[in-house]
Amino acid sequence: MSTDAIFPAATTERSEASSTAWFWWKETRQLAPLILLLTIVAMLILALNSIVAGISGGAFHLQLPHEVTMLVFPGLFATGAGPLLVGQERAQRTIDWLALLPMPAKRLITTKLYVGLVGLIAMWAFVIVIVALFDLGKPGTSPWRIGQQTAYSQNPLSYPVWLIHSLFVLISGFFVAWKIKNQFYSLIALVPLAFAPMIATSIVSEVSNRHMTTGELDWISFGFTLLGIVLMTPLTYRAAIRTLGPSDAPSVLPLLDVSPHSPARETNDALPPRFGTHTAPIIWQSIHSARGMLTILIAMLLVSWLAAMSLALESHHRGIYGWLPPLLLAAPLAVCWLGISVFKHDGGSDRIRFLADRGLSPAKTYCGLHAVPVAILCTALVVYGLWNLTLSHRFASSAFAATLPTIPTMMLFVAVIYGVSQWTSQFARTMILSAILAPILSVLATGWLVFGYVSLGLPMVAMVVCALAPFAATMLLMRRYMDCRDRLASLVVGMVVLGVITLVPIGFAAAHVLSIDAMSSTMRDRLLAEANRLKPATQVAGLMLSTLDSDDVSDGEAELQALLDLDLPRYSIDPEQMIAPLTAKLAASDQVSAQIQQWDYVGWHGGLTWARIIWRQDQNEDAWGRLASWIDASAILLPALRRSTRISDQEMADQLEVLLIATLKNDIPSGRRDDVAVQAAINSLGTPRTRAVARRRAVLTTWRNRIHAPEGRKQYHYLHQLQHQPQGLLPWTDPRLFESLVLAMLEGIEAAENHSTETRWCQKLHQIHQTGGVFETSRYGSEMRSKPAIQTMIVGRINGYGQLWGRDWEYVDTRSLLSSPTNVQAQASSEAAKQSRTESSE
Amino acid sequence: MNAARKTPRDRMMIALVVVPPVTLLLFCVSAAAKWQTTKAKIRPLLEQTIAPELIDSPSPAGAAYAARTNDENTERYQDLVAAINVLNARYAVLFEILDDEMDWADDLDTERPSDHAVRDYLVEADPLLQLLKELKPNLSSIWFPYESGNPVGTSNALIYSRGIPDLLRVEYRAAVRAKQPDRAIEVFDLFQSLGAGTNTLDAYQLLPLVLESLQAEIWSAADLEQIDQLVQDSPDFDSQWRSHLEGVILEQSPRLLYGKELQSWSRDPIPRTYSPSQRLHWLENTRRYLSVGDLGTLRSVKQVLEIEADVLGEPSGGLDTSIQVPTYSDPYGGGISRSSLARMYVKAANDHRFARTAIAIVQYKLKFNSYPQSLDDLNQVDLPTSATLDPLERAFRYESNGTGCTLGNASIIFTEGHASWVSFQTDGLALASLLQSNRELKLGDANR
Repeated sequence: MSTDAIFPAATTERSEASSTAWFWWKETRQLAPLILLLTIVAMLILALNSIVAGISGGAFHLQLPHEVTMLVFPGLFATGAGPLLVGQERAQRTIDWLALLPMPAKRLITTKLYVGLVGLIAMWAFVIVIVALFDLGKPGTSPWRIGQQTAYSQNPLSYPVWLIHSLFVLISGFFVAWKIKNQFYSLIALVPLAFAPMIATSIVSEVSNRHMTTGELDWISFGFTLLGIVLMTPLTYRAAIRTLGPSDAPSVLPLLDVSPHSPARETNDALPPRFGTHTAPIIWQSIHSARGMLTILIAMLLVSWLAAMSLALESHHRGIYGWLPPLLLAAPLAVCWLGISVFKHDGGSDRIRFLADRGLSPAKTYCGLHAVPVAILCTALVVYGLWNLTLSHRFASSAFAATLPTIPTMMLFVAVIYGVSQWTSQFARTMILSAILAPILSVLATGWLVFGYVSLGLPMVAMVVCALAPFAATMLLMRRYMDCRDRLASLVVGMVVLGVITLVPIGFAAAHVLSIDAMSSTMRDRLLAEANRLKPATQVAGLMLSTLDSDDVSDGEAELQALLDLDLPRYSIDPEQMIAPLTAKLAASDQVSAQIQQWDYVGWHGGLTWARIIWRQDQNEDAWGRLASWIDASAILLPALRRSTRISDQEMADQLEVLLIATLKNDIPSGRRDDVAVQAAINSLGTPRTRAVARRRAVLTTWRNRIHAPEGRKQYHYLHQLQHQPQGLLPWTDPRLFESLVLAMLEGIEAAENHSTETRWCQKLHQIHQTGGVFETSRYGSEMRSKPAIQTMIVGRINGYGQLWGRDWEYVDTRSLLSSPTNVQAQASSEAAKQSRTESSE
Repeated sequence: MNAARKTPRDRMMIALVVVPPVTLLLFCVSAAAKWQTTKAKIRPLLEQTIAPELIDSPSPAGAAYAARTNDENTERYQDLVAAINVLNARYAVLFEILDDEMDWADDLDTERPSDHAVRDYLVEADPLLQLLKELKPNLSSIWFPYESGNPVGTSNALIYSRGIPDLLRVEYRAAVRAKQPDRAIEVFDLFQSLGAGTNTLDAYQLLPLVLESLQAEIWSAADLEQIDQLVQDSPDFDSQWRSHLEGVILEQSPRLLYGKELQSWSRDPIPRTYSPSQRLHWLENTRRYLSVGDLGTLRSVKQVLEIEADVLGEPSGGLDTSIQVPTYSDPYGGGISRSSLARMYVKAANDHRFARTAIAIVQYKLKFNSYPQSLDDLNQVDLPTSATLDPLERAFRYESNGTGCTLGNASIIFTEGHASWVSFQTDGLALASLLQSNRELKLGDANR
């Protein structure tokens, strides 16, 4: 029998509009918190993304408020609307009062549905505005056309499918709320129902013999969702009418049953369980009042574990196994809902009030409420830990097992999800609101902390502080919560928790950035002023050694032969030819500086070395001519490189000078001392003072260019320490690290100029260039630095600036170079080599 | 609620909520204890492989390297490499041409288009070749500054670039074409003394060129004996295998002892810890690999594969792995895959046997003025039949028409003018694919 039949007079006499306006208002107020909270959460996601983008300066692309993230929100609203408008009324039994009102049941049902629909439209309007405002959609695609989605699109469904799916979820939500009285059970029933069209679509794609495109799947989803709406609407109406109708009369059969009166039943059930402590009854009550809910949540954890076990064994997830990865999500959802069960399980608030009335302390109540969920979670973690002891976690045997988090990681995840959820369940008024909000907030908090750990270098301690903040909040509010006067306080404490979770990672990140030894502002100003006073290089000659590029080499023997015949002369390594661009400019101005690429310097170094080898073996005029031309050209190149304002050119100049000094010291016989080339080379060598000036100019100019000039920013300066920095902080750490590099280099330049034995700058440069490495065995360590520079330098490659500074070669007396006893030895060994070759050829 | 004596129901309820957290706590405490006890086991085991004084140095691999090298010739060696690189960069096209010339040893009397460029190259390279002969570098005579333990350290390698092998290959080729067997043998000797590792690329080896040169009729019996001796004297596989693994352990000792993350070019941004169990497991397994002998045989590959299967299948760590952060994975493999390396020794062993068989065929031809009818005939030039089998105990393919012959890998079948491959599925060892990539050698007038 329906209410229409009971109140025929009321339905006919009253004006429909006037009779339901208040009802509309009541329903809207009931739904408002859901809309409000979802809107706040969406805005929170946007804010979080801005923080992440702001911190990483665009270097880290989190892109959390992606179109899909926003499109989920109407679905979440739809999930909550039915249970909130119907389920809550049924749980609080206000539905009985509503049913007694002089209003047709049909009107009651449709009004609730219409309010839900209006809310859904409002959510859609909000989402579309956000998507348009923040440009989240993919430009160039037409998301409003069904079947237009492409496989590479991040959004798997077109907007109409999203739209009608949210409608389907809304109707299904009403259906389960009308059908099932327990709010939590109705929510659990809604989850598979909401995914039913997608599951049906994937089954169709599975059984069909051909591969389906994303567009086709979009159409199928659309069809199934429409079908779902068509099916669910009458079912929902029927379920609602049945609920609003009078309850069935109690059956007489139980009255005839004598078993309740049996003596055995008396002793077992009639008496309440007796306890000797205060704690045990709370635990007993926790279990018995939410037995069903706990069973479902444990089942969810088990399902997730079984899915994980299958994934660890099976490497190919096709067919039915394709559903295993989504099943893993059942575990975090269960953890989340276990958190909710602390304050918002069925009859939870009544129970807390009951305990408060009995004078139980808030701390004891708090522990009692958490005891069972925590015990379940601990059991799950122990099972997880034991299971992992049996697995091989090598990538080769199971890629899935290799990525499994260990117990501390898992505990942290669990603590964050559970903590945020129990906190949500304390401040959110209703269970449904908590059940919907808690997963989103947990995901947000976990994502933010994972981002903090991976990208901001957040230490474990800070993660623990963030994980414990929600627990501290709920504990602090426990007394007020028990007395039902926590409204304002929960808002304030909520903001504090939010602040802790947001600001602690930022605080640690800021502390890390500030810990990098950068310049003081006065030092920065002074050095910048000095850098600005430096005259820029007016003319620059870039040198290129022509070597055959591997790209020039093509197939085909004839072509290759032609290339060999034609091009060999072109790739000559004549030093005069190589520095021709420089000498041409030097004719006009003697202040022209030279720039050389590292690989080109390899050619120069090799060319001069080759000439040295030839000369050592046979000291004839040809060999001398060749060596002299290299020495002469080097004498022109070296000062020009020293005039360059690039650090890399100074490094190459150091290498060239080391080579030139070694050549002059070891390879020039006394008879060639007065040769023009030799004298030019001696004159081209710098002094510690001139080198220091050139290096300081290059360091400061490069630094200034890096700050001000766009071309400076593009220049690559290898700082290995950047790899060791939290990657999300690079935009903040990079300039400070560069400043610290500049300081260490200036210190090194000064030490080299003064022939100081100070090695602090070496350690600093090693730390910046070879972070985490072993100082003693590096080229900055004393052992390597005590060896001749020519033995230890890496020709044509910079794996750290300043490795040659302040070493013995810098303090060689240029006048004594040619009187070195090694020259005489060189001459003698050359004659011996010549002799032995003559003998062998004979 | 009556706060009287505890009832069994009280105890049960309390136990229900207390036991799980306590168990979890015990689990974590046991894991921490295991962490400490396992950590203590690493050093004694490490000391069984490397000297204690090396273990305590800041960079064990660096210290070991410094102990076995000297810096007497460093400067001249570095000069040599720098000069050869510049020279070879000029002649890059010539190397391309020479790599494609498979029939260079066929007709020594006719001038080839590349001969002129080869001569030019060698004139320019002569001083460098002389220096190379003077230095006669090998792995222990050179100290190349090695920043062991540092992320961008440059490591020692005699075959650091292709420079020296390329120079020697051109010189060998020119010596053969100039019909100067002594000069060619001297180059081969020099090359063998460099001690190029087994895992060095084919393009860096000289043996393929030596085999091709056997077609040239310039070799005397004494020359062939010398070449055969040089092939036989090539470095011992077992000691190469051991020194490779010991080198890997040396490199890994900071990680093994202190869980220190090793430096590499790209660094994982996630901070990680490595449990002592995983580190100990790695060390134990590497020591198991060390015990494998007879490298180059099928048995050794099987042994290595067995160990590899055990390593992959077993749980990767003990209880302490449960508390490493953040995941259970042990991303480090430690150098080249052991089974790949073991297979490379098989390939190298195959190359050596193939070369010895080919040399014996030419010796036979010199002795009897005809090619052997079958490989069994090579007994007459003192080559045992076992040397004519590949490491899978299959005879090399051989065909002779009296005036010429073709020798091929066992996995090759000869068809009309072309060689094609037979797929051998040897217990999934994929050895066939390695052996297939080897050569087919034609001697004399093989196509008639």
